[in-house]
Amino acid sequence: MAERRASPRRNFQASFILFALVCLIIGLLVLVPIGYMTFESVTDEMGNPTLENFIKYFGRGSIRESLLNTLLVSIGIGGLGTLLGVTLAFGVSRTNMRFKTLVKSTIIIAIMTPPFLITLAYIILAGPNVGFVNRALRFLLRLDTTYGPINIYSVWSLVILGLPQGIATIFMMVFPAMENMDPYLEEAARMSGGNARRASLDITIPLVKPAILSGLILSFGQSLALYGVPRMLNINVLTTKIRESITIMDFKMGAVLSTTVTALSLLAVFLYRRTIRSSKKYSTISAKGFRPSVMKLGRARHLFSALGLVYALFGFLIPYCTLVMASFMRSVGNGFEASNWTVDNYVTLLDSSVAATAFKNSLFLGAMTATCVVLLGLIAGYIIVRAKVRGRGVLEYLCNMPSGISGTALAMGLIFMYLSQPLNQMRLYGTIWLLLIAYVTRMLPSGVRYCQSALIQINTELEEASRVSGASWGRTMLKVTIPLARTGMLYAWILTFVMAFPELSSSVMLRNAGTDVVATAILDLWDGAGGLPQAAAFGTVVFMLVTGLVILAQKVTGRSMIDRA
Amino acid sequence: MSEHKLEIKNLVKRYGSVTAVDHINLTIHRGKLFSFLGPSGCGKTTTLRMIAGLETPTEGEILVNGEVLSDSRHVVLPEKRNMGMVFQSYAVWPHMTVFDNVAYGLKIKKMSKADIAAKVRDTLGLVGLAEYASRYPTQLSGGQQQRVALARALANEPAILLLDEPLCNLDAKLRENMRFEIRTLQQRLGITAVYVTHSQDEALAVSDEIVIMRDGRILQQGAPEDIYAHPDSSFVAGFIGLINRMDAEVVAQEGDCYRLRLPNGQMLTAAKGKGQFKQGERCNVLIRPENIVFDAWNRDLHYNRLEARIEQVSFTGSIVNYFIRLEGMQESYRIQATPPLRYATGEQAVCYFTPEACILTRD
Repeated sequence: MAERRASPRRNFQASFILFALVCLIIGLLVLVPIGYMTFESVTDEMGNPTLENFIKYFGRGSIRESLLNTLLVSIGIGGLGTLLGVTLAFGVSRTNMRFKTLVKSTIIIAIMTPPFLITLAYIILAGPNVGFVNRALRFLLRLDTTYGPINIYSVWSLVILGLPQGIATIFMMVFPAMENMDPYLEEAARMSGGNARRASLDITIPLVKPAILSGLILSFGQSLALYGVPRMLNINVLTTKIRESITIMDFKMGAVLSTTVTALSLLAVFLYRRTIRSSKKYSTISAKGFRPSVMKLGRARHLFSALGLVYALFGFLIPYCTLVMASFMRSVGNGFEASNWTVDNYVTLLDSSVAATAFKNSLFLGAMTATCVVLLGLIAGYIIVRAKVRGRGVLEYLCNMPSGISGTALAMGLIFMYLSQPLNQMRLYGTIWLLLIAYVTRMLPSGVRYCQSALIQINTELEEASRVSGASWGRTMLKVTIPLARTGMLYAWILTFVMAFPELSSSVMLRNAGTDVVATAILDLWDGAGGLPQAAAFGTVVFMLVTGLVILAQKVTGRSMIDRA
Repeated sequence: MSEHKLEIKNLVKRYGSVTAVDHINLTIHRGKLFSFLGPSGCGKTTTLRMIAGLETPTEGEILVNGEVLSDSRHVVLPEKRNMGMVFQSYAVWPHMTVFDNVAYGLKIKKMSKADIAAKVRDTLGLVGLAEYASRYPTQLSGGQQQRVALARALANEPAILLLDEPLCNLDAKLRENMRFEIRTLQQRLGITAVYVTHSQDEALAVSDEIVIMRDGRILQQGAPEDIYAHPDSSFVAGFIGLINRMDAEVVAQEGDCYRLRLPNGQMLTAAKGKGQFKQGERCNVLIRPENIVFDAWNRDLHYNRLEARIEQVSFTGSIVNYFIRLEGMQESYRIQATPPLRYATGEQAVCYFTPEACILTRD
C-alpha cells in the first residue's frame, strides 16, 4: 500500500488560538501600562527623550524625602519582618511553643485584610489627642496636656503598622519549607553530636535560607507598595506622592515617581525569582509525608510563646477589638461612658447611599476580578504547567510581575494608557471598568499561582488518558481537568475575591463619582465625612466579610492557607 | 490487505542535547503482543508515547497500515488514532464512576445510551469488574483500578493497545496474576498490543516478540525463547535472566564447535552459535545457571567438566543456588538446581555443561 498522509495536524492547534489570546491579554494588562508610564517619565512635553524629569523632580527635597522614607520603611519592615517571621515560623513548626493556632490565625488575618484597617484602630488607640492609650497614659502619669505622649504620626509607626503583614509574608514562605523538611536531616546532625540548638542553626536555617531570602524580598516589595497606611499616618512616601501628583495635575511627576517605585519593586521581583530558582538545589526539602519533629524546649519555650502572643495581640486582637468597639461608639473622644454606646453607626451605614454604592461596586469588582483571574489563571497556569511551548517561562514571569508593581504606580500607568491616543477612544477612564482592569492585573499573580498548584496536583496521565480515549483538548479540559481542579479553582476564586474586595491603592487613583469602593469610602469617612466611629463600623463590616469568606474557603475546599491538607 | 501493521521508521527523539530514542526501526504485526524491555531511561516509554501521539518525534515516522501518523512536522492528535492506552499510574479519573470511566470514549463516539451500557457491561465483565460499575475508583483496590484502566482502554475497540508499565504499581502476587490475564485477553480479542516494561519476567511471560533497548537503541529483537537462548551480547543475556560470564580465548575450530581456553588454562568446548570467531580471538562465554549440572548422566552428550569448590549455598524453595569458585579464576559462578540440597558450603564438587549451553559473544 502506498504511503498516504492522514489528516496531519499540529498538536494543540485548537487550543493554540486560546493560548495566544490569553498571552496577549496578560501582556496587555501587565506590560503596556508600565510602558506608557516609563515612556512618559523619560520624554518631555513634546515627546522627545530626556532624563530632565528625573533630575527636576529628584532635585526637590520633598521628593527625595519620600524616596528615603520609602526605602527606610521597606528595609525596616523587611528586616524586622524577617527576624520575627523566621522565629515565629520556626517556633510554630518545630517547637512545643503555645498559641500556635492563634499565631496562624493572625498570619492569615494579616495576609488577607488590608493594613489600613489596623491603622484605623491604632489611630483610635494612639492618636495624639483622643487616642485611648494616650489618654490613659496622661491620666496615669498625671501629664497636664491634651497631646501625646505617643504620636502615631511618624515613620516608625509606619514600620510597626506594616510589620504584621511583613511578618506574615515571610512566615508564609518559611513555614512550609520548615514543615516539609526531612526531619532525618536534623536527626543526623544530632547523631553526629550536635545539640538541638546547633542542629537548628547548622541544618534547619541554612536549608530554608532560600525561602527566608525570598520572603524578605517579597515583603520588601510589598512595603514599597504600601499606600493606605502612610496615607493615613500622613507620611511622605513615593506612593502618596504619586497620589498627590494627580491632585495637583503634575503628570510628569506621577510618571517619574511611578517609574521609580516600579523599577525598585521589579528589581525585587527579579531577585525573588532568582532565589526561587537557586532554591531548587536544596531539593531535599520538597520531600513527601514527613511529620516534622517537634522540639521539647525548656525555658526557651516561654520566649517563643511570648513572642507569638505579642504578635497575635498587636497584629490581630488589640486592633480588631478596638475597631469593633469604636464602631459602637458615638464619639471616640467620649471613651467608655455608658451614653457613648450606640448602634447608630451601623444604621447610618445602612441608610447611606455612598456606602451602598461603594459596597455594591466592591462586590461587583470582587466577583468580576475573581472570575477573570481564575479563568486567565487556569489557561495561563495550564500553559506554564503543561503545554510544551517555548516562552512559557516568559509567561510565568509576566504573570508574576504585578506582584512587584504597586497599585498606585499601576493606576498611574493605566491613566496614561487610557487617556492617550488611541485607547482614550474607549472612554474607560472614570468608569468602573478601568478599576476592573487594575484589579485583574493586581490579582493575577496570586490567581495564577493558585491555579498552577491546583493543576500540578493533577497527574498528566489523567489528561492523556482522555486524549487517547478520543477526546479533544477542549473536551479533556472540560471533562477531566476542570472537574479535577474544581476545588482548587473555587479556593482561588474566593481568595481572589477577598483580596480584591478591599483594594485601596489603585482604587484611590482611578475612582470617580459613582465608582467609589469600600476602601475609598472608609478613607473618606475617616477623613471627615463621618468620623472615626463610622469608619470603624464600615471597617468592621469589611473585616467580618473577609474573615468569614476566608473561613468559608477553607471549610468548603478542605484546604488551608498554612497547613498542608 | 488490511493488516493493522504498525511501522516505526528511523525514529529519533531528542530533548535538548539528550537523545532519548536513537534511530529505531520496527514492524509490529497484527494481533501480536510486542514488548519494549530495558532499564529505566532506555527510551522505551518515550517510544510508546510517540506511538500514542503524546510526543512529537524529532526525526523519523510512525505509520499504521501505511498511513503516516507521526513525523517531525505533523502528529495526528492522540484522539484521532484509534488507540487505547493503559498508563503506569492507571490514570483512572477519580471524579467519575467506573462506568463513566469506561464509557468515556464511547460517549465521544456518540453511541446510543443502550449501546454504551451494553458495551461497558461486556468490557467490565471481561476484566471481572461487572459488579463495580457504580463505584468510584477511590473505593477500589490498586488491582481493581488497574482493571478499570484496562477496560477503559479496551472499550473503544482500539486498533492498537498501548501499555506503559501497567503492572509496576501492583504487589508481586497480583502482578503475576494480571500478567496472565492481560495475555489471555489480548489473545482472545486478537488485538495488537505494545507493552513497555522493565521487568524481564513480565516481558518473557506476555510477549510474542521482545525488543531490548538501551540508551535509545535497539540491542536485540526476537521471540522470548529466542532471545533467552541466543542473546547477542552479555548485556542482553544479563538483562534477560541470570548469566555466568567468563573470558576466554579461541584456540581452535573443531567442526561445529570451538575449543576455548579460560584464563586459568582450563579448556572448554563450545557450540558455534551465531558468532564467527577467528583463532586467537578473545570472547565471552556465557552460561545460564540452570544449564550447569552435577551429573553427566546422558552418555550421548559431550560434557565440559569443571572442578569447583562450593562457596555458598542459598535455598529458595523450588530452586537451590550454589555459588562455586574455580581454581585460578577471579569471580564466583552460580548454579541453579532443584532440591534436595546436594552439597554444603566448603565441599568440592564436579559440575558439567554441554557445548550447546555455551553462548559466545564479543561484548
